[in-house]
Amino acid sequence: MTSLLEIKNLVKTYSKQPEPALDDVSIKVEKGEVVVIIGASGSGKSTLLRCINRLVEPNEGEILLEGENILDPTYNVNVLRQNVGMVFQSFNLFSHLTVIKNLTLGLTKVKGIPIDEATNVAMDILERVDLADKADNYPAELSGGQQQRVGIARALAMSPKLMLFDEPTSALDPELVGEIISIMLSLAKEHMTMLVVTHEIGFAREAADRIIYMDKGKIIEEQPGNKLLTDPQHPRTKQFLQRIRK
Amino acid sequence: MVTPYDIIAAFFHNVYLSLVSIYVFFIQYAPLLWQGFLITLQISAFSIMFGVVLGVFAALMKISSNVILRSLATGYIEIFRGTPLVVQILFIAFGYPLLLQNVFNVNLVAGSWNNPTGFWKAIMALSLNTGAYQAEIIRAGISSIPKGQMEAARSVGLTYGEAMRHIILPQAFRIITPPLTNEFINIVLNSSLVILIPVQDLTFWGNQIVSATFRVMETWTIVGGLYFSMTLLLSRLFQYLEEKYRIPGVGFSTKGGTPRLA
Repeated sequence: MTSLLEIKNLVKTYSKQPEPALDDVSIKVEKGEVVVIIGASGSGKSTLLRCINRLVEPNEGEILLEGENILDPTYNVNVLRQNVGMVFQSFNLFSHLTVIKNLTLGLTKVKGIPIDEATNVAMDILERVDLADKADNYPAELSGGQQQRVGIARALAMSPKLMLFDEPTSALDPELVGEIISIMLSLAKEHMTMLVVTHEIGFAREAADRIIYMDKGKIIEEQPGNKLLTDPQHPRTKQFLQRIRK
Repeated sequence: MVTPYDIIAAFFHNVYLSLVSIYVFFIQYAPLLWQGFLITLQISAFSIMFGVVLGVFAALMKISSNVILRSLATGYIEIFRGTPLVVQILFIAFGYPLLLQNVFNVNLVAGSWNNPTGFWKAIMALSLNTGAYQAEIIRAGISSIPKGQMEAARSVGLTYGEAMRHIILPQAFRIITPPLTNEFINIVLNSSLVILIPVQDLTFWGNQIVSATFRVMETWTIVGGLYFSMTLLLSRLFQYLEEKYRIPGVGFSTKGGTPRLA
């Protein structure tokens, strides 16, 4: 059986940096799996996520989504992005659109769903993230935590096969992190396939089927469950975990 | 003997006579001024419309990754904001048909695309001129939108064009409404230069009336007032639109109520 996502020997070098941002990275993600990537800033975690929905074009390697190479020039990048939801560190909500329009835009323009139906779908998802009462508000009128919940809802609205989370809680005040984590945990329970870059060790411990530690564009260590947290093997992983636990 | 009473009476009598004569004068020449007013209004409206379209395309070309599109946009912008509008008007009015005839061997037909009427030549010149300025204003607006907006739009599955149309440009235009209004007002005022073609606009009729009546002050006051009424209407309209489409919680209102931060 093919994996939902298979990354083979991915290399990305930015033109102005001598060191590659991604150096021969290979990952497999099965359907329903929650994979957490941890690592210091600049380790290539975000670049990796961005390669998966081609916001960044890798230089070498293959990315297979359900067995199809998405880096193939003939592969329709807009179809790919419908199947891969992305949640950003800085939310990136469409600031001139109300919450509900943030969700329905993709449904109507990309999927061609009529606006009435799209609004129903969007309202259901807003209820899931407990923001139905904010449907007609603008993003600037919401708290950070509420904005990120809209960010997650916007990605979920497209019913993606894979959700990418790029440090979804890093821009939030500590007391707002919990509401995002609990939504992510409930998604994990519903067997949404998720690839999560985060510094929230708590989320990793509770939800991860696998944890990957990255440093300087390379995968240093990969362990099932939370073995990487409880029993790290590589000295650099141990060092990193010690640093963030202090 | 002349009393102070006589002086005051004479003054008011003169004022009365002037007002009557200005009134008679105005009634007499109002149809011509109105005709010119409408021509100026039409030329300005068409030039604003075509100018925005040109400006959007030139701005998008200038930020394109395609070097040919980028060079075309840069060339267009530099030429049209680097030469006098008068020269552009004269070139399009008299040079453009000759260029087509002598260089491209086109048979000129008056009133067709290759030798349009003065009215359309005026719109061509003004649109091309303002398009170049607007391109840079629009480009500044696009640049002011955080990169994450485009990334989020693309990650939802919108194409580049859809993302520009539904996400980036609507936000950019909200930001650039004040400088765009400047540019629109400039079009209305600069349209007075089309008298050189000649087009029978408001300034043209003002000039004719002055030649015929020698009423210099009255005529140019009325003409100036008519231009002012157009630009005032325009600036009010765009201020209204700016407030109407203001994103709640974003930016500063022109209606006051901005908290003064210490």
